[in-house]
Amino acid sequence: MNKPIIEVENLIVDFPSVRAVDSISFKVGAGEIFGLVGPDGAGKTTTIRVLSTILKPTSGSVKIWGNDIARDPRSVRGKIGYMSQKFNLYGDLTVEENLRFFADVYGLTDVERTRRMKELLHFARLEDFTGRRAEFLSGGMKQKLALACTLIYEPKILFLDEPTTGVDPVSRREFWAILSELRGRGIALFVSTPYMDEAERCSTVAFMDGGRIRVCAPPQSIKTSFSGEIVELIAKPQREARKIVSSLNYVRDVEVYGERLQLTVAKAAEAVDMLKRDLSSKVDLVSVEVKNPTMESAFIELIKEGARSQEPGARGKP
Amino acid sequence: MKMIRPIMRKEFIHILRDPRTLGITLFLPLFQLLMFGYALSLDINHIRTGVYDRDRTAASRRLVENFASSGYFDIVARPNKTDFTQRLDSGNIKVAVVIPQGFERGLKSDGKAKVQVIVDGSDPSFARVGVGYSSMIISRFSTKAMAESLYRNGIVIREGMPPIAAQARVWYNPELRSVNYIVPGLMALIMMTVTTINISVALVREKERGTLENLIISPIKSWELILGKIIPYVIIAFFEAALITGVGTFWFNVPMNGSLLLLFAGLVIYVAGTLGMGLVISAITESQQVASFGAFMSTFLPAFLLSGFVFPIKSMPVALQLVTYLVPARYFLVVIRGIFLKGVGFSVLWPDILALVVFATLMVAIASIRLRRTLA
Repeated sequence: MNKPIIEVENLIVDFPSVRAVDSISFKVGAGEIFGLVGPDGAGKTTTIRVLSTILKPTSGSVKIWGNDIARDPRSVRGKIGYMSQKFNLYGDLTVEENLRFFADVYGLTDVERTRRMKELLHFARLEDFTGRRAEFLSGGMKQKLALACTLIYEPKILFLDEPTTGVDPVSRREFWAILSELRGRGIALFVSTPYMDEAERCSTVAFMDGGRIRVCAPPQSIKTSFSGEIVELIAKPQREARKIVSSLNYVRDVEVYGERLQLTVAKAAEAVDMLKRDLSSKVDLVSVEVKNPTMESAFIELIKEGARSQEPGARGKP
Repeated sequence: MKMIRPIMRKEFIHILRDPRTLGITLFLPLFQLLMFGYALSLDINHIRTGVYDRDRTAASRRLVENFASSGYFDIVARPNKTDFTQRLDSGNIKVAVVIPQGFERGLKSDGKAKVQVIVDGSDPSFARVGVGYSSMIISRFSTKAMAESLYRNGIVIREGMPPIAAQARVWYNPELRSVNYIVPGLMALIMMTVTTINISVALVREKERGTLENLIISPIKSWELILGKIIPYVIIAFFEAALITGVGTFWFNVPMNGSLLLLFAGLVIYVAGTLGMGLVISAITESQQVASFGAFMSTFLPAFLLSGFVFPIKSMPVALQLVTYLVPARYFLVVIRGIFLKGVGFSVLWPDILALVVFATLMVAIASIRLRRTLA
């Protein structure tokens, strides 16, 4: 990793009834797309809010460009951008008025403002909606406007908290195309997401669960860390098939995805033959196939290992 | 410093596009001004009166004439024995004057004439005035009748009757017009509600919608943000003060006897306090509903009920009188009525001005401590 721009060490955030972030440490290098992945209530939002200087940490150190942001948040303000999960622009202001407001608050000159507004409206494909009030935009357009507003002052690091939650798949893909372009311009991106396909687009992924980071690595190495292989099985009746495979000693884990059963095994090729032998007489076997392990299967394995090694504790959504 | 302007511009857009804020800031004050100016008249006259004259003589007619010409009573009915009760029941008349048979005879001979006045007591203040006015008219009538009777017996009463003439003069509001009293008082009420409710809602709205986060992480300083949010409402408040003064003096003919400069200075101190109060409310509440309800309860109600705006503080129970010392409108009312009606200056009003200064300082101090925590 090149010289890190964000360094987090033993960050703890306590809320009155719950420890939302439980001693996490990680580093983000310049030009990265850093993904924070995990289930709801994992502590992703809290982490992002601390990094973007909205929330003060309970303890631990957070440095951005070497500045301790808990002690001196103003040292990085104006150079970082934050886009919250919830739409947080002014709904009663138009697209243009929102952009203008952000430009003015960040002290842009009139010339800069005019140039960047034109550029960003084009970039976010909002040119035809400049006079529309933000509250009357579609979900995808709202997100693009929020992004445009944070980009107008050209921050060097952008924190995005689940930017595509509740956005349709087409807009999601479009949004990620925009993020890739930003990365090309040298802006570091810190994104939280519950979606595994989005996690795969990141250069580094930290998997967060129960306030802790379970693993932090590039997606490829997370996938290869997966200890087993995957076999996908479709059989009828599914309930019966599931019961049988769960009792087989060479099947380590079973997950249900609609009509498909995903089995974790040591050697997929061998397992296919054994499954055909063990199941064909008892259920109606539609298909048995070897699949490549995904991030999701790797994470599920991590969660289950975590649950086994750790005593269950009370955790809530921050 | 230049960050204040974009915040102000944005705030004006919010005000103009939000029907509720626009209503509270512009239409509510005008509505209150007209409603209190016209409807809340404490002057009672033209009381609907019925006369049941059973005597039908020159003397009885003269008495009725005295009632009618006083201006306080309008003779709207001449009911008979059976229906004057019914007219009182239905509210058709508020006062019934019953002159029994033999009124004139009694007046001339043994001086034992009687008149019955029945007053609808369901509205006590109204009844008190009705009883007072009718007693006054009847006693004047009887003094005159006595003089005539003495004259018939050969005793002439010279000028100067009755022997003691009370020369009561009312200063500051000689015609006892309640609008003179109400309109300056309304200024205290309107300024308080407009500033406190609006500023508390304006800040809490940013919290509720999450837009405050954007401002917190921007380079803007918290005092710039607060000033930018406050200034539009200060402008509106002073615009409204001018409006009330204008409509009050030119439309309702309220006298403005004192110094405009002192009025302005008083307003500045008062508004500083009410804005500070709005900021305190915004710092301790999280939703617009709670903020506007809290602001309404802590400003409008005390300013209306416990300030002496309509209900005199001296006639409240002692415990309640003590509470009124905590209501800033109480002091501002003394100042503003003093300036408008009495034309007095700082030398008389300083204790109340001082109380307002203390209130404003306290509010601004609490607000800055609380907001520093929110906007860190």
